[in-house]
Amino acid sequence: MNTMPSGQYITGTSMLHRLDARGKLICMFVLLTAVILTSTLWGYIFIIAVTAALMLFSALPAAALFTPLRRLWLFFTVIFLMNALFFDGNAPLCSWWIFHITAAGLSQGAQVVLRVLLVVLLSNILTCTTRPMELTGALESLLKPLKLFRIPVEDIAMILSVAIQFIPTLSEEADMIKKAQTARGARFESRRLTDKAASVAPLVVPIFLSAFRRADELSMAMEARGYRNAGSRTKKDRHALHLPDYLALTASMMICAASVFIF
Amino acid sequence: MSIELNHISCSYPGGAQESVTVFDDFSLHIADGEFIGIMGHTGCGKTTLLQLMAGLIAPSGGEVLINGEDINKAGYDRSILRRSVGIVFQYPEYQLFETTVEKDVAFGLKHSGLSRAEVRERVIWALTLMGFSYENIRTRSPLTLSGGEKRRVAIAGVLAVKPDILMFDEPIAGLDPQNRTAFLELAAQLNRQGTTVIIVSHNADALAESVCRLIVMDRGRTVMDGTPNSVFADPVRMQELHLGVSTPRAIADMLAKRGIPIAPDIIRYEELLLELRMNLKAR
Amino acid sequence: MCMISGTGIRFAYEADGRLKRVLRDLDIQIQRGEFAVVLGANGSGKSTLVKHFNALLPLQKGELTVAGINAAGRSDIWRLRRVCGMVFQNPDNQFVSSVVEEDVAFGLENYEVPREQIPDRVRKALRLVGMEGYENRSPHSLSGGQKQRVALAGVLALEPDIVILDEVTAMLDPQGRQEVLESVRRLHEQEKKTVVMITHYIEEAVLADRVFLLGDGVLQACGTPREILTDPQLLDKAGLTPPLPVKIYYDLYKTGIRLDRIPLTNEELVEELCQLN
Repeated sequence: MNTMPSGQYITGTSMLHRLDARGKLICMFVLLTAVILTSTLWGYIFIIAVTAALMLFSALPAAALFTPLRRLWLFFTVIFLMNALFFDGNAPLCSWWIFHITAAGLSQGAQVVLRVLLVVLLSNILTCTTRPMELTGALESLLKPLKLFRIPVEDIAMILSVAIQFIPTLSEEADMIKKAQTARGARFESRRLTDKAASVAPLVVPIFLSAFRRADELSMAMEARGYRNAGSRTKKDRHALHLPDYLALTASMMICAASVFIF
Repeated sequence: MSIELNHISCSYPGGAQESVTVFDDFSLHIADGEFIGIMGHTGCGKTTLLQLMAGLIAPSGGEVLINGEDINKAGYDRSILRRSVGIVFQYPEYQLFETTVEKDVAFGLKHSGLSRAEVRERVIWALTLMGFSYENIRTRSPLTLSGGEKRRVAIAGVLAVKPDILMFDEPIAGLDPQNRTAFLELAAQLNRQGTTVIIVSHNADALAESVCRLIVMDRGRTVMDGTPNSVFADPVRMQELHLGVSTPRAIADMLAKRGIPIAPDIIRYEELLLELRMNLKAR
Repeated sequence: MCMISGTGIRFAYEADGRLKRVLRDLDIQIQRGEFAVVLGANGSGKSTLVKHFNALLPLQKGELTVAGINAAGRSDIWRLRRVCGMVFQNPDNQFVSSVVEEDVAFGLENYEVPREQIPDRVRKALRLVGMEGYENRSPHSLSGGQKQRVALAGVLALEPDIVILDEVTAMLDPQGRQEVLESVRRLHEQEKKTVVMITHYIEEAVLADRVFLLGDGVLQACGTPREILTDPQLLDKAGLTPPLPVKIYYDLYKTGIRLDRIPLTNEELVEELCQLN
């Protein structure tokens, strides 16, 4: 129904909304690097604090940022358990059969979960504060060097941004199809493996067909509106970056360096 | 089979916004064999209501009883529910997935315990009912059918289970007049044979011609509930709810406003025609 | 003057090893500034026909000129699509951005309209369909009728001569249908656009200057709504039923009650009945 899809642009006038999309995209990459490189407790605390600050600056409703996380709980649980149970280390806290729970394993599990969590949150902050076409443009200009290798950068950026657009529609439709097939007797809820296997086709085939149908209609609509290739479109305004953009860039570099080298 | 919803509350997580409450202390009783229409502005909770009755979503409070049994209670056998309640979603043609029409229609009978011959008999029955020749269509791929044919095959797949309760969400949207008439005749026929039929639709004309009880919903509440004649008797209220009344009703109203004496409970074409004849002959 | 002129348009495709003939040597002429409604049952070929007008489907056989451009010539295809815009049936499958303003600008950017002109033209287009104030909303959060009006704005921003509407109301609720029809009517009356609207809702055909009745891949008839919609045999042959006032006229006629003229709308019917009294 008419609910706001998560992870999609939300109108606003916050500091983060006003920054240049290219700058924001680089800042995000830098911060993601920090997330991946850091490995100490204080490093994590620092980055969590930075993320929390960004969330405040973005002035976005908390639900918009956290809802996508809710869908990932199973994934987080599995990742954590895999790491906690199978991590090879000395001095297990307790052992049972092939499982050895070690302090190192627990910490490893927690770290992986935390990293994924931060990556999702940070990319959400980016996509919620940046208009899709601006993001497309930013991606386009940052990937420009690849044009030397005859890679159709503009088209790739356009495809990505349009694809992201369709996620909420498709997930709504997947939900509808799942309900319709359940009503016809498909056993999605069953724990039996044979039932699980048998219920893949009724779900996956219609979703694929529908995605193709939509893609077909959309490409026709785009053609009807004069889309040939992304290369021959009105160029985006390419202002030079402003002071706030440079400040943001510098800040994120410093944050990255701090989290890796100081903490 | 009867359906009873008692003190239902229901909400769903609203993405970026707070969760949206659809129902708060909602009750509705539907007796065995009724023919019901549900109208309401988009977003009034009609689709959620159907999904609650089909056990596809669970309420956060209250109970849904089908034939007196709470379908959300632990230990309730869901396969009984799937056999007794059939639901045809809007654009059902999108759920087709098998390689042949025959297999797709038989999908719902997989766990029914019916023999091969019985399954085949059901498939033939359902396809014939939907106006197909079984022999001509059984081996065709659903994907190569026209839009209208796909929809009829999808409906046949639901009918094949022979559910006691049949629900349709906007079944006639996008159908041309002849297909519309054919569908309404089918629904009436099934109802005469004892099936409880529930149709959600925006089409006031279609509902006026077919159903026996009309429920009007607004923001998760029942605001009108009665015979179509009694519900459409209040065009002003319907206008306020952004809903229309049937065309014959609207014409009768316009005539009444011009001072022509006309019965106040006309909603169907035949009723209007009869009234006009009597009225004009009398002069 | 002829805005769209087609002769001998033929379209067929193969499915299940059989040749499906959708359009069988169809002729059609639509005048400049005309509000044309193409009426036909499901599967009559009406969608296929109009997709030839902006060269979304290549001409297999026949001749077609649209706004003076030869639709068969592949070199003029982009010029053609600029003067001949199109809105589609499914409101969810025609948006490229999750921000209304950016979506309306999409066509303008495709035709390399200078950046500084874009905001003005977007605003003007949104005003035409009564959607100003929604610039920053996500299409996903709008009602069906609003989505279709935004899609219409996306077409109008390019200031086309012809606007084609391919069953744009089929997936909408009654309120959404009213909104969209109102916008279309204004477009024709105030902006003087040539409008080609496809529908199987017979009541929508009443709005037309001329109705083109399609059946079996050929043009069964064309004429004013009064000429076409008051002919039950003709409509029946095309798989359609006449509007309710027309049905009442004939059913009263059968019992010896004659109205002066055949009413097309509810208002006309009431008028006729009152005069009889």
